Amino acid sequence: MPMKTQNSTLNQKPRFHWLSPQMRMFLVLILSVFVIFTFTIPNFYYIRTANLNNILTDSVIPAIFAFGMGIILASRGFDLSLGHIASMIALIVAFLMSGGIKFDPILAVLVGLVVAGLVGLINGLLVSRMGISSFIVTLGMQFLIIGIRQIITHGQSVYISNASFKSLASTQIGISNLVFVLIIIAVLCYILMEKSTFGRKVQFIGENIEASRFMGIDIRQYTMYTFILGAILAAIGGILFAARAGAVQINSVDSKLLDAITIAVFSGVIFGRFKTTGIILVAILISMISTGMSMLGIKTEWIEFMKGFILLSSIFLGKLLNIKSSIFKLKLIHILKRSN
Amino acid sequence: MRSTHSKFIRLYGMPIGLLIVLLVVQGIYSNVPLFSLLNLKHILLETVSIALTALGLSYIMISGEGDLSFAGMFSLLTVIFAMVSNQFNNFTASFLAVCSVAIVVNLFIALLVTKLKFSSFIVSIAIMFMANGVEKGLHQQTTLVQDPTILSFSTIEFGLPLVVLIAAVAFVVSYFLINKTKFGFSLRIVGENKNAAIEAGINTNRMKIAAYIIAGFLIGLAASIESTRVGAIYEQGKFYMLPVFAGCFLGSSMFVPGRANVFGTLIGALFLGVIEKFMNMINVESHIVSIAQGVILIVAVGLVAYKNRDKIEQVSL
Repeated sequence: MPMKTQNSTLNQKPRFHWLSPQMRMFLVLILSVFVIFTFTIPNFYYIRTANLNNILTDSVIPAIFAFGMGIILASRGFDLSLGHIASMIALIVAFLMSGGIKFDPILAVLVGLVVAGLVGLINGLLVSRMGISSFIVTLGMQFLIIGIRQIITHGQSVYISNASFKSLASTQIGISNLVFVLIIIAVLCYILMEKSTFGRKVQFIGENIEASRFMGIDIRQYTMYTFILGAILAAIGGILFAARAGAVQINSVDSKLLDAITIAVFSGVIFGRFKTTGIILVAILISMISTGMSMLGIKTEWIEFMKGFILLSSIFLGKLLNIKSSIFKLKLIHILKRSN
Repeated sequence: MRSTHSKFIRLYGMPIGLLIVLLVVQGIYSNVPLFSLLNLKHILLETVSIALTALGLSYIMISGEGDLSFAGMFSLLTVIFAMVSNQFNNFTASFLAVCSVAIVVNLFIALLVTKLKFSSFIVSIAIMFMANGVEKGLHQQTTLVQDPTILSFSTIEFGLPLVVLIAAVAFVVSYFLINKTKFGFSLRIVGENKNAAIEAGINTNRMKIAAYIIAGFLIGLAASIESTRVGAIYEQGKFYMLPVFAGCFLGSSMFVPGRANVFGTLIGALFLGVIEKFMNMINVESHIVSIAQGVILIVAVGLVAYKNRDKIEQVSL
């Protein structure tokens, strides 16, 4: 029986899409948010350069947190302690540079990153070697950190006087240095997660844990790496926050967990996997919405509510667009359930 | 084949271990009257709301889902209780308001999880953050419950406080509901083997929704009790997430290993209550208490996971 050789869809030359459908949807979302706030906020204050610059700068720290969370989510793990790790590292770095110790800023930051890596290593070891649910481990770690950082500072805030450390977040050529830091980290994350075998393997574990085991991927090892990377990225976010604020309170970065989860899940749901550009775009979108809302005079608490709402509706959106994302497979599994 | 000896340890090892820990602690600090009658009453009173919330979570976990939203909802519900009670000076009105809010929110989560097949984890995290936002939006500082009759529910002058009796009734009823009735049997099957439940003709969605609604009622009850006990309300749920989870997970390591069960949850919650009370009595600072709770959670779950390490998936969330 003669087969139909002319398959119209196959033989057609692939049209060059300069943007994926998701990307186009994103641009529409961002544009519509932009238009709404341009016309609701009086005097067109929203679209002045200073404000736009501000929006961009505000999106940097959440985006870095979301990179950390996104890497962990990509291998189908979860980390509740990211915000607390970041707070603790910011405290440690500020503490090392202040008072009688007076560390060099570079050394202080290095110590901070090493400590963050160690915390991530503990999380990762407990999850991958002991087989405890990552949710339980990081919840316990959250409370451990609450106690430990209280011991470090006795509940007091630490002020930062070192000018060269503060210049991390200063504005020199019209754009804040934070944006350049974000670009560097984004490029590194892009190479690591989207262009290297490491990233491919991590994403494949998230996609299909059974198949990746048969492929011979060392799941334990890679899960552990994701937790270490996540903790280090969160610590970078915390350090940048400290440089920007000039003072660190004991729990100043805890609430960034909400941003991290919202951005990482939003991007992961829409794109179906870890995508650097997606995370940056969502971070900018959320920064646009929260800046606009606060300019309209809405209280911060309701902006927090809004972020939770965005998190919920992103799942609606993903289901609506019928995207297959490994995040939909996230479950609060009772690890003990399988144990007998 | 396991011997009966190891089976005994598997079932009762954890509660006996916890009891030994408590006795050793009491032995070291013999000047602290940890097990005096008055002290036990205090412990019961302070553990009631944790235990009831953990019981609600156990229902959800028995039905095979998970929930985080209670951590945010609990604060919100206590604030609602205080506001309504200050408006009407009436326990029933405030209790009904709190319970209906809790049940409606849990029903919403249940519908998203069962009908639309959303990840219960992400949905409940979103609800938790939203509830936190609403709670902070509703009040900025401490809210006081002013009605003296409402506050009197949790006094310990004569006999056991009323709220402890209520909690005891809730636990006994739950035990019979889950272990002795057809409803409980179906609920457990849904959680243990969904396909078997479908083959047996059980409407799994309906069972899950029922579990969520019961949990909503219990969280409402717990929040009302917490408000009557504390009186001054400010972000009550903030430090409840860990004890409730720890209670549930400690509980699922005993009696019916690997599954949330009513008595295990009760014992787990009580153990955490006793430890916290003990640390307060020897004047340990609150941050050490949170370290201890974190360690207890990780060690308890870790021990069980390690014991069964060859039977579980290498990495699971």
